[in-house]
Amino acid sequence: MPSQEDIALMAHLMRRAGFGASRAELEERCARGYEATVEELLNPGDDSGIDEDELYRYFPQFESSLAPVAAQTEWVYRMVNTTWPLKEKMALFWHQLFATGNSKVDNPPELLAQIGMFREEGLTNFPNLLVKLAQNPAMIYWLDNNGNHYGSINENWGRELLELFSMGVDHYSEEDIKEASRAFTGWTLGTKPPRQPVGRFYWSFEFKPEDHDYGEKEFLGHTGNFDGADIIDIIVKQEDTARFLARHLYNFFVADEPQVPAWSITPPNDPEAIDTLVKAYMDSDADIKSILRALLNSDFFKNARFQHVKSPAELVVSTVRMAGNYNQPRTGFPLLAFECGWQGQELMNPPSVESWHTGSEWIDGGALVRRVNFAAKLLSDTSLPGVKAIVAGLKVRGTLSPAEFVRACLDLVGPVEVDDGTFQELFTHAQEGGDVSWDTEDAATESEKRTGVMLALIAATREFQFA
Amino acid sequence: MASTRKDPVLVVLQLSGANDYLNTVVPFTNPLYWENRPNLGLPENQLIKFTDDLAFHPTMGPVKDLWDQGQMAIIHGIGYENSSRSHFRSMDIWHTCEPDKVGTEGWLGRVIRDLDPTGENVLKGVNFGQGLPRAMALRGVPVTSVSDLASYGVLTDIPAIGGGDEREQMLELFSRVYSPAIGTGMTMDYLGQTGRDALKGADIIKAAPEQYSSTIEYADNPIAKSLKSVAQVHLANLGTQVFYTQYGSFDTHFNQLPAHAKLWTDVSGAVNDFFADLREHDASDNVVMLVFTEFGRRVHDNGTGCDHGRGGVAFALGDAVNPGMYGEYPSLKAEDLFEGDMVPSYDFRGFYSTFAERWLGLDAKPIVGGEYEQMDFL
Amino acid sequence: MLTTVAAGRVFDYSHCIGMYSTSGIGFLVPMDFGLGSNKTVYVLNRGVDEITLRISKCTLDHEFITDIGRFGMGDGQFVWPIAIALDADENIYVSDENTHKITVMDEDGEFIAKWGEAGSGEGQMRGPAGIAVDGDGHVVVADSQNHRVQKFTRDGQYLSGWGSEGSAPGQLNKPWGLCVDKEGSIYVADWKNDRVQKFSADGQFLLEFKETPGGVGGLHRPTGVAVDSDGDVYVADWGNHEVKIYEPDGKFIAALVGDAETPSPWVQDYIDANPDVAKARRRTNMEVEWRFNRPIAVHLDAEDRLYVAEAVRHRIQVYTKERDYAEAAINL
Repeated sequence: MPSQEDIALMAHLMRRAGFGASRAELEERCARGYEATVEELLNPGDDSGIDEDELYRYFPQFESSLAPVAAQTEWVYRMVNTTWPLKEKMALFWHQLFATGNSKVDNPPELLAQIGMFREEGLTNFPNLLVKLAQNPAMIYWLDNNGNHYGSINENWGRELLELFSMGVDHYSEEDIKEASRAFTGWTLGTKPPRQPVGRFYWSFEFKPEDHDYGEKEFLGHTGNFDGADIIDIIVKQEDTARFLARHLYNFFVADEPQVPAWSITPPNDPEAIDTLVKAYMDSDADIKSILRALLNSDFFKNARFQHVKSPAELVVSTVRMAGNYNQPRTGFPLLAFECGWQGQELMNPPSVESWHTGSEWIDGGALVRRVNFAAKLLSDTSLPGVKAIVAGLKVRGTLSPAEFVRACLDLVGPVEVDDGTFQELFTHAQEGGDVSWDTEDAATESEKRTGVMLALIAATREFQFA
Repeated sequence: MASTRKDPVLVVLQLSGANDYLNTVVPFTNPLYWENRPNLGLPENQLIKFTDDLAFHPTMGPVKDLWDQGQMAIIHGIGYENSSRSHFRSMDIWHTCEPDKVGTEGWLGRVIRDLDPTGENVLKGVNFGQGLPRAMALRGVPVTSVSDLASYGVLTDIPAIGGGDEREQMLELFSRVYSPAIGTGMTMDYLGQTGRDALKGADIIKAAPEQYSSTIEYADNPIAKSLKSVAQVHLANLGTQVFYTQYGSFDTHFNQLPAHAKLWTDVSGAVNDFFADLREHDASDNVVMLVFTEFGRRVHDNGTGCDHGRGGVAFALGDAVNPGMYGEYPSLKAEDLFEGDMVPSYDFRGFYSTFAERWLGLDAKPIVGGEYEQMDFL
Repeated sequence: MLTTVAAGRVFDYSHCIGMYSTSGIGFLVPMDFGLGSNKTVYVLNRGVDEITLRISKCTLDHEFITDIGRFGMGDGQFVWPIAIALDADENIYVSDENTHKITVMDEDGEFIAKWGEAGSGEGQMRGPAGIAVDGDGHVVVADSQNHRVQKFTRDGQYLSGWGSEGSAPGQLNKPWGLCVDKEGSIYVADWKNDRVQKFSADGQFLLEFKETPGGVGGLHRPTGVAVDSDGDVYVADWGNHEVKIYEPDGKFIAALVGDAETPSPWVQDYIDANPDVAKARRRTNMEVEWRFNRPIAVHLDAEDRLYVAEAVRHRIQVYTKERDYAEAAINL
């Protein structure tokens, strides 16, 4: 049996590098070891856990619908059922970083294709990913690079590439933006039939030599006949880029940082951690796996339990994975997608290119009520497979005193760590029912019901809002 | 902030999906209407004529009553330059007043901030619907979003937790685990405050239906339910000055005749019942309603429906409204159309400004992002 | 190519029916269809949400008649409807993969009965998919997640069944569409085994249709099958976006790739009403629109005209089988 500390650490890893794991999976992973699990997350096998043919057999609307909810639902299905947790988590990371929204793109299938690209390329290296991003049709439309012409540049993509996607403000000049934009002229969209009235067609990237500015450019102190890929090559070699990406990774995987606009004036919470990630970036030529390996195996990561407010997608997906009632095709998946939106994270529709604000800014009154009600409803339903497993896990521990009962519930649903005040309240509540026994059928029924209520209360705590 | 029932109140009704202007306010004497609507032309003998050449959709009788009572202004040809034919983009533009870039702040968020700068009353702005419309989104401005007034609150609709005492006990426990604890950090404190506020807000707003009684029987459809909820909260005098709700989908590409008729039956009935309800409680004089849609639809029909266009119609309703027609019905002449669409002549930001300035008494410029022509319907 | 010539047969593209639409005329994610009398067609639309699910009853001449059925668990309602069949009286049989039930309605959509019980016992079903009515008026069902075929009377009394999970001849893996030929033999699209199997009326394995020598005729996740009066077999090769045609003995003849070069009249009306759509169509290569995208169901009428429904294109393409085709001069 793994130690409590090993389990807690593995649960932490799986919450951050994935969308949580059941107790059975945690124990199995503990048996293999922490570093081996990190390697497996970084290099998963061929089987994603999703049979693509089965997916479209049972959800033909995923291939056909033009509506945002179908695209969102397909992604939620993948997040819930993936056996590539880190790949899928990285798709979410890149989506939050390279925020592209349907409010302008108005093409959900194309946005989902962008997410697919993040899934495929998200663990390769940063220059490759940026080139793929620059050629991604949804991004081209979102940041107007289809309007960026030879002799008449549109700076939108060039600016955000530098400001929001790689280097961060203050590390380049306005002239650099113009020169970068020139280099991306002619990177545009091919024509396609309109989606109505026979259904969807996909955009394609098209390079138009006649619309490309082949002239000499000066960019960040380099001079040459650069095209977009050359610009990206220069960008990714900058330490500012390493630092910017490191801070994003830290904020997403380790602990909540201040919001991006404050970065130029507020130092990181843990400058040494950022330095470690910057070094991993520079040493590996921006190899994303190498950076993540350094991050996930670091002490600063291991010591950051519950220092990250779950995003709505994290909360929704990890809760249904825990409840275990969405692990195959069924109705109801669209509601999970809507729920993310109602809690403040409408997937593939961030408020702007500056993305969602994270950390405590996920939470307002309405969002908190939704989070609490959503998780409490699922985890209190003892008919669901994952909750049944928790009840079974309690049963094998035999008769439990009220304090043992609370501790065991916190353990099996996480482990979730709560402060003394919260524990005291849960304990006081448990005390009213006395010891938890499974000896008779009646006692077991009552104990099962009490477990459901206790799990609802845990889901309602402040601590449950953190990963 | 002290509020009285006589503070001005704005109710926004969004017709989602792009309402068809031509079949809502029908220019029935214009031969071009009939030419362009071979399949969607409404039967002339059923139209509800309200001027010599304009008529409401046959299902809009209850709206016509408001017109007859002098409580309705019709704003013709509303929209914005270079109108987007994307629902999502166009709705975003209407919500943020940012036609040239993707905006994050909602215009009503700014309205609510200016009405209640300290954010004291979390019920200053209330949305009825799932999630928050971007129009009301503004960082630091608390807004309440209620999907269902009857089941609104913490730990509701959870079978494992019984009703009555059991739930009360749970809520007390919730309140205690969200109380301030020393040394747990800013985020925990913030969560604690938010949790307790949410509990308080839910308590207050849930009392509204309990105090309410009315002889008006609203129909059984979502917009009637939403507007009834608006009436209940308004009558409970909780200081709410901005209400938001929406109905749809008006995206009638196909099968428009029955679909559009059903939509306007629901909306007309609900709006009329809403004002009747307020009047019954002597609470209508400080309420105006703004009705809008993201764009109008294509002039020529496509067989059984019509497609995305530009230039729409908006309404202002209520006792305080100066009744009549404002703006101009856009020309339907082929040479005046843009890719088959009517061209709007009145910027919606002027429409919004009229409400912000003349009704709510606010400086409209920062709210809509500039100075736009206001109209005299208020 | 609008005309496909192969092995003495000529398949000629005729026209198409349908368009993307959420209600009324047009279809939305057609899963299957049934050809009735008087040129009537019943198109089973899964839709993209609870509102758009419906059976469209229209004619092959593009006349919309009515929408039948809607989402739900009640009588005459469906959750995941997947296949439709008509009997000689034009009663409608619809299978539902989610509720594990078969619903029977009359031609106007009036509910008659609903039968089927979830389970794996004899006569029970899990994920019923393909459905057909044989010459005796019996209902043959691909009991998909039980990997077998079962035969019922029209009111749901169990008659017989065969098949088990596996890939050996006679075994099945998540079968989908099926059809019955004039001899009463049953052809099953053995979905996850990438083949079609032919069984005798009492369930004896006879033949399989799959890749043939030369590496042609391979199937990927076939969903539908039909047999014409000559015994030629047509398979909706869903995973490859083609329709594969085989001789009665299993020899591969030809693949159709979709030829909807002329839009359906409904689509043309839409284009005419939308100048921007017309403009966009003129400035791009439209070939991708002609081709099959998820051909999901195939059926033949009494004249051996072939009808192919496409789930992602919301239409049915129609081909004729020419018997008096005059070969054009070769050297043009």
